[in-house]
Amino acid sequence: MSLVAGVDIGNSTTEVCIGRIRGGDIQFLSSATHATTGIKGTVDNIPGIVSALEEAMGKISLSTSDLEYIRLNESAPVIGDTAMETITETIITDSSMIGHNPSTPAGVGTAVGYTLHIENLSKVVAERPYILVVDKTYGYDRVAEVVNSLNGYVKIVGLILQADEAVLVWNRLEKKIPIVDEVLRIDKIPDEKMAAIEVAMSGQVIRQLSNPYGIATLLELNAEETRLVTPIAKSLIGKKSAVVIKTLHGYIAENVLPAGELYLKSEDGKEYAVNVDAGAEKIMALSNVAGRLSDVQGQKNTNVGNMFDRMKDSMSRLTGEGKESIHITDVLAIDTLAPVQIAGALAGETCMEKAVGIAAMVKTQQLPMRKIAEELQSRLHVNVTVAGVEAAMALLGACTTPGTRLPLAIIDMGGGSTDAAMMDETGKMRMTHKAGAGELVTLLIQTELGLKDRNEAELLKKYPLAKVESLYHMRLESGEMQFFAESIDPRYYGCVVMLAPDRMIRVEEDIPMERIVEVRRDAKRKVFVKNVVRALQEVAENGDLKKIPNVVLVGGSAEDFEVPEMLTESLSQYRIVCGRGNIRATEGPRNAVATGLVMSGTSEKR
Amino acid sequence: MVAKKPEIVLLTLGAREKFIEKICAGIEEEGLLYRCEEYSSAAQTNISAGALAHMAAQESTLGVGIGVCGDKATLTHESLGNEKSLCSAVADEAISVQDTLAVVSPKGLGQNAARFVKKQPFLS
Repeated sequence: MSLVAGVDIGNSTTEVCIGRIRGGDIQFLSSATHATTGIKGTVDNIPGIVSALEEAMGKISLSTSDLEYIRLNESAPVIGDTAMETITETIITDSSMIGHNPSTPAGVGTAVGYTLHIENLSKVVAERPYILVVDKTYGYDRVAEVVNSLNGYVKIVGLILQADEAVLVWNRLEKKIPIVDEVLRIDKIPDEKMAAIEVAMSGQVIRQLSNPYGIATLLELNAEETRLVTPIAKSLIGKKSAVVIKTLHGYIAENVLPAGELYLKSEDGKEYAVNVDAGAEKIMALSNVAGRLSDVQGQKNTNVGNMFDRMKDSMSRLTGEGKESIHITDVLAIDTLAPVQIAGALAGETCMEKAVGIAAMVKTQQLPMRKIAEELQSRLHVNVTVAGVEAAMALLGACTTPGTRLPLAIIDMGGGSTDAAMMDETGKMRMTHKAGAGELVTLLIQTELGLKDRNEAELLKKYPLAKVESLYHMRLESGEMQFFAESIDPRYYGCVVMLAPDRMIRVEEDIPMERIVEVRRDAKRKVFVKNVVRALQEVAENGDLKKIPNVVLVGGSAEDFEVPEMLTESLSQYRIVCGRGNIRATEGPRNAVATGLVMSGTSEKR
Repeated sequence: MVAKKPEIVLLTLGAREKFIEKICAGIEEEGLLYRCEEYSSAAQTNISAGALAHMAAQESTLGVGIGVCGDKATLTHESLGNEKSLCSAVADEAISVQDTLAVVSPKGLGQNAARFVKKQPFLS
C-alpha cells in the first residue's frame, strides 16, 4: 500500500492529487491547487509544488514525508504569443470635417456659411453668411450676447463651440441657429472657408452631410469634388451633428498600411509567403495549403516579425537551446475591426479600421523537468519521477468524469494554446497543440472595444455584465433584475459593471452593455469554437469528427461562464457529446492531469 | 391649482451668486428644469449643505435636491437618508488642492443632478 502524489505544473496553476494505491486499486484521498511560482518548467516552480503538496496532505492530517512517491507531469513544451496588426488607416488633411456625437447638441437644422473665429469679426464681409467658431474662453453668456448684438448687421447662420455649452447658448439666442459643441481642436478650423453645418433632431441622425449629394448641394460641388468627399460622407453616417468644411486641397483618405509579410515553411520543405494585410482568411487558407508547419517567420522590423522573434527568444532562454532550434509550429489569424482615432481629427473622431489578430505557438524539444524532479526529491526526501506525457495523463484523469467512455477526446483551452488529445478503444493516442486561446480572446476584445487597458479586457472576458439602473437595482445582461439592500455607491450609478464574485467593477468607457456582450461572445466564438474544431479534426481518425462520441473540456478556460455552452452547441451538429469535465465527480474540469498521474501509478514499480 | 413641474430644487444659504449660477448652468445644459430658493428659518445656526440638500429633495417632484451653503454644495436624492449624498462641489474661489479629488466642478454638480434624473453615469 502506498501514498502517491500526482503533480501537474501548468502555466498559471500547480495542481496536486493524493491517492492510496493497494495492489491495482486506487483510493483518491485529497487534492489541492496553488498558483504556479516562476515560469513553468523551471526550478522556481518548487515553492508552489511544495505548498500544494503540504495543503493536500494537511487535508488528510498527514505530512509530505508520509508520501511513498511523487509523479511529476512531463509538461507540454509550448509557449503561445499574440500580436495585432492594423492594416488600414484613415487620415483627414486640412481639417475638412467634424463629425461626432456631442452629448447635448442644440439647434436642429442645416446651414451653409463661411467659417470665422470670433476674434476675427472685424474681417466680415457684408451680406455673407457666417458660421462663428468660438473657443472655450468665451462663456455662454458672452457668446449669446455677441451673436444677438450682431442681429441685422452680420448674417450668423451657425455656431461651432469648443465648450460643452450648446444648450446654454441656444436658450439665450434671439434668433435660433444650429450649434455644434464639444469640438476639441477648435484652433485647427481654418478661417473664411465655406462650410455646411447640420444638427439632427433628438433621437435622430444627420441626413444631408452623410450623403455625398447632400454635401454637393450645400457646398456647390462638381462631380469630381463630390467623388472626393464620399469618404467624408461615409464617416458621418450615424452622427448627431456634423460640419463639413470646403478646403481646396483637403481630403479624407483610407490608406493601407504595410504590415509586413509572413513566411510559412511547410514540413516538406516548401515556403509560402503572404502579406499580413491580405487578411486572416488568406493567411489561414495558405496555412492549410502548407499543411504541417516546420517554422514561421515574419518580415524583419515589422510588428509580426518582432512577435515571432520575441517568442523564439523567450523559449530559447527557457530551455537553454539555441534560437535556431526553436520553431513556430502553428499560427491562427483572425480578422477584426479596431476603432482608431483618425489622424487630423478635430473632435476625437474614430474610424473602424481593419485589423488582423495573430496567435502563434512555439514548440521545442523538452522542458527540463528532470531538474525539478531532482531538486524536489532532495528537498522532500521522497522519490520523484517524471512520468507520462501530459496529454495522456489528462485523458486518464478525464475518464473519471461520470458518463464517459472510450473513444474519448479532451480539449484543454489554456491561455496560449488550445490542445486536443484523443484515445480510442485500443488505447492508441493522438494529440495536437493549436495556437490561439485565452490570450487571443482578450486581445480581440481589447481591440474591438478600443480599450487602452489590456487588464480591463481580461476582466470583461471573465465576468458577466449588468447595468446599474437606479440606486437600488441593476439589470443583468441576461435581463434579470437584482436589488440592493442599501443604496449603491454613486460612482456606479448609470454605469455598466462587471460582476466579479466579491465585488462590482465599473466599466470605464462609455460603451453600451449589449455591444460589449456581442464583442465578447464573438471573440470567444472566433477563437475557441474555431480552434476546437481545428484541433479535433487533427486528432480524429481520418479527420472525421463523427468518430469522436465524447469530448471532455478540461483546464482553466473550461471554467469560463459561457465557452463550454458555446462548444456544446456547436459540436452537437456532429453528434458529439461535449461538456465541461467533472474529474472524479467532484473537481469539475480541474485536476485532470494530477489525477491521471496517480492513476498511472498503479503500474509503477518501486 | 398650479400643476407641479418636474424640477430639481436648489436651497441656498449665504452662497455666492456666481457659484449658484454655475450649478444651474450645468442643469440647464443637460436640458432639465430647476427651481432655486433662498433658505430662511428662525433657527439658522449650524445648517449644512447636506441638510439643505435633503430638504430640497423632499420638495422636488423628481426627488432630486441640491443644497448650497456658503462655498459648499451637495446633491442628494430623497431616498437617501441624512447621512448619505450623491455628489459635492466647492466654489471655485474657495477650492483647495485636497478638495479637487473628492469633488466635481460647480457646473459638473448641476450636470450630475440632471444626469441622475436621466439615469446616466456621473461626471467626475
